[in-house]
Amino acid sequence: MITWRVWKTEAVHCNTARRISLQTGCRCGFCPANFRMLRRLLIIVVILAGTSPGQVCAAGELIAPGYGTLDYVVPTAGSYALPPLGGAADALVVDSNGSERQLYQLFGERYALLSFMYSSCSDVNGCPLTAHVFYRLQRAMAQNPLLAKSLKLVSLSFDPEHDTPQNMHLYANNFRHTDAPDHWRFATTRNQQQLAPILQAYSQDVQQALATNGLPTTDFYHVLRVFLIDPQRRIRNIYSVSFLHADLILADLETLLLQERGTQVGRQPPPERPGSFGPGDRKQGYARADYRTDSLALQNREGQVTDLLRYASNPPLGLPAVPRPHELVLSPASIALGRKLFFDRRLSLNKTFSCAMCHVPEQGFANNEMATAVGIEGRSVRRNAPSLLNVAYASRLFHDGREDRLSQQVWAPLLAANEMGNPSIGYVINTIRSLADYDGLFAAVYDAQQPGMQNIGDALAAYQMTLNAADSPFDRWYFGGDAQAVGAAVKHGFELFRGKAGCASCHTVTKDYALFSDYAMHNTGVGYLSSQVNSAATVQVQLAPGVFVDVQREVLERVGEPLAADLGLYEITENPADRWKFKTPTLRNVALSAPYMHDGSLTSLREVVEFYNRGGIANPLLDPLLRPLQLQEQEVDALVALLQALNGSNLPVLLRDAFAAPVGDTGGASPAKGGQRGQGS
Amino acid sequence: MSPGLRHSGCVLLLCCLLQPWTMAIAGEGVGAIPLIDQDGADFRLSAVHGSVVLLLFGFTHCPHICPLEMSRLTAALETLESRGQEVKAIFITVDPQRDSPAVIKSYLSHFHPTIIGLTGMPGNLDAVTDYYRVKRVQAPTTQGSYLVDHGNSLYLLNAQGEPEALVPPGLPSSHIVNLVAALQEHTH
Repeated sequence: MITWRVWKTEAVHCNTARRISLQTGCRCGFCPANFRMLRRLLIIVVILAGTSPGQVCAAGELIAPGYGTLDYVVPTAGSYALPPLGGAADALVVDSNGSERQLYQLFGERYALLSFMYSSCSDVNGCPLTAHVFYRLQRAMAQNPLLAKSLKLVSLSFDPEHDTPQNMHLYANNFRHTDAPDHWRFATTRNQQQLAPILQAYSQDVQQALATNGLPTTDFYHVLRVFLIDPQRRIRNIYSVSFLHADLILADLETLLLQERGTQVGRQPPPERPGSFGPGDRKQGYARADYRTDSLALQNREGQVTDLLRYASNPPLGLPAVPRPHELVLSPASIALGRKLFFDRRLSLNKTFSCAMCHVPEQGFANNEMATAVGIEGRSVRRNAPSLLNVAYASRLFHDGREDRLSQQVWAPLLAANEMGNPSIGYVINTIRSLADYDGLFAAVYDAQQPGMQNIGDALAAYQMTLNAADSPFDRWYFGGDAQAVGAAVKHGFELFRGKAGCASCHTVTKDYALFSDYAMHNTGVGYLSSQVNSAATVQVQLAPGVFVDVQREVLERVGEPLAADLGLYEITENPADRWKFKTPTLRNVALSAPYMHDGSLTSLREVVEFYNRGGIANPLLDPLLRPLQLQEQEVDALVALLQALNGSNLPVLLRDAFAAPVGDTGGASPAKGGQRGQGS
Repeated sequence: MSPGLRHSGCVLLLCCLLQPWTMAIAGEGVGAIPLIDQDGADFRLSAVHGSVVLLLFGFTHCPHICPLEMSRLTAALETLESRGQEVKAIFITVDPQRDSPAVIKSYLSHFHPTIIGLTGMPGNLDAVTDYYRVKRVQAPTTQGSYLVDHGNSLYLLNAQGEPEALVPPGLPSSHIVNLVAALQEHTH
């Protein structure tokens, strides 16, 4: 295993900067006109003198991590993949000897890093940052012949008027006398005509900055992007200010080299998937660095349309008959239409966001990745996306129970500004009417009607009423009489569930079926707790498996939107006694829908059981059913084992059906008309 | 022939091919242009010919990059000084309107004491900056003041006053030290 780590080099003239800061701090020799300059100088000096890059200085300015050491552990090379991001364009440029060359020639035979620069760039986190990171790489290359053989650094100017080949020659001369003369190459172009197609090919939006008098300055507005390009001339990573760091680049390079070696001996077949619920993501253990995803690549997902109606008309073992509003049309055609709507990204304001993007099929029709949902354009939603599995049985909908019919409920997320963002009901109806692939579908199901408020809701409800997943190991044991279906822990867990732990008071189980919910409203204290002021100075944020950073709350608040307060049922009834009451969720398939509680504040089933073992969170309106349970460690284990034995056996079928659904952004084609022809099937 | 000499020969040939720097200005060259130092005295760049020179363009009202560049230069000079390596350092203003010798002198007091600060008649400064192809544009700000955008890489000049290398901002001061040492070694 090769390890290329850039050891800690000096951050730009850090010590000098600190010295100057001390000096300027005690001298008063500046003339009054220079006061502002002095203050700004101090700000910068303070930033550079700070030993912790990325730290916010008093003036609120940031220095990029690339100047220092990273605050987090670089992921192990080879523990991740860097799929190609598209082709890296070739172009005619002028090298530092004044000769016309192809960009590909400058890239060399192996990997290349391409940056864009201009010599009057004065933003510390712009071109100087790139130069600093390239210098560190250049030093690493000088010390490691294998690395030097594998990489070329290329800086291309986007200011041909001023960055002449002579100037690029002078830049290249920095390394003429060193041990690594040809590792870093500088190039420019003859003129703007030669430059423009290159900027376009690399999506470099460069604009000349104008002074307040409207005249051009020598500054350019551009977004820093550095491209990692492989020997096949494909872009494998693009580094922005926050990620342009020598250690990250070296880990990426090593990852690509390892992958190269792997592909030479033949691609490994995808591993057998553990678990009983088929394709999809599992986030168990995501907090640990050794987490390995077992999600299937999209191209490996096999969609297969199934007869969903059977799950509504004849639900799997453990579920009662589906309570069905008599007016609702439940037929293969209405279900297929509902499914098409459910997965259709065009039904949001910006045509990118479907129902299924918060209710992710392979994540329990919920979302394992976010505690609270995020809608279009990254807008924050204050609650956790609830699972839609077995939603047909829910007599109350939403965490606050404000709706009782799916066909009406569906309009809330369609219209919420921070979910799918549609401005009006009519807007949604007109969108559907304008889409050719919906022609005739509504009329065929709903007595020749056009799409409208009622039938759009009905169709979406029809699909969701089929998402019933049961016949779990628990069901086969408890209702099916198969003693071998579960182990002793699950049986013990169920004893506690109905007895000592008292879970079944709300998560109800009858002798013929189990909904595992009373669909009633309870105050467990979770809402009360989140309504209290959180004064912790830092918030832990997970970036990747095993990689956490502490972010200062102040920084988070500057870039984020604080979640609105949440009073639960009170917001519907305005009865003060209803504060912080939320609906009991079903526990069926609960192992698939982490994180938990209405705000996603608990990440694992064990945490949830421990929460109830403590008796919830004390507050004046705490549900009297909650009390400390005095469960022993092994009893907590047994309850968790029970909760893990509630995944329905028909989930893989539901998921394969979901994977066969069109997503609605397939251009002019009319995908899967009637839902009978799936993309992946 | 030593490798160093052979290398220098190549560069000389290359410089001829790339329109030699000396062609940019007639007569005695850039070294003869009269400038004014921070004490108000007459100064010509020819005075430092014979030495390796670190040359930086900037202005005292420059909010961000110049103080960083000056502190990087100061750090390099300190190391070079401690190693007994002789080098001259020059700061030339791109803002003669505001940067009088007195203002430059006050500004330089925060950096290495050997740095020479230069201003001059606008026409003469233009000739110097044009020679070194330093672009500079006066850019008014909303506060009724102005900044002078300028090329902010550090020039390394050889004993003849010709540019040998341009050090972009972002490279550490240790690199400048190495570069000066390498140039001196190759010159001697």
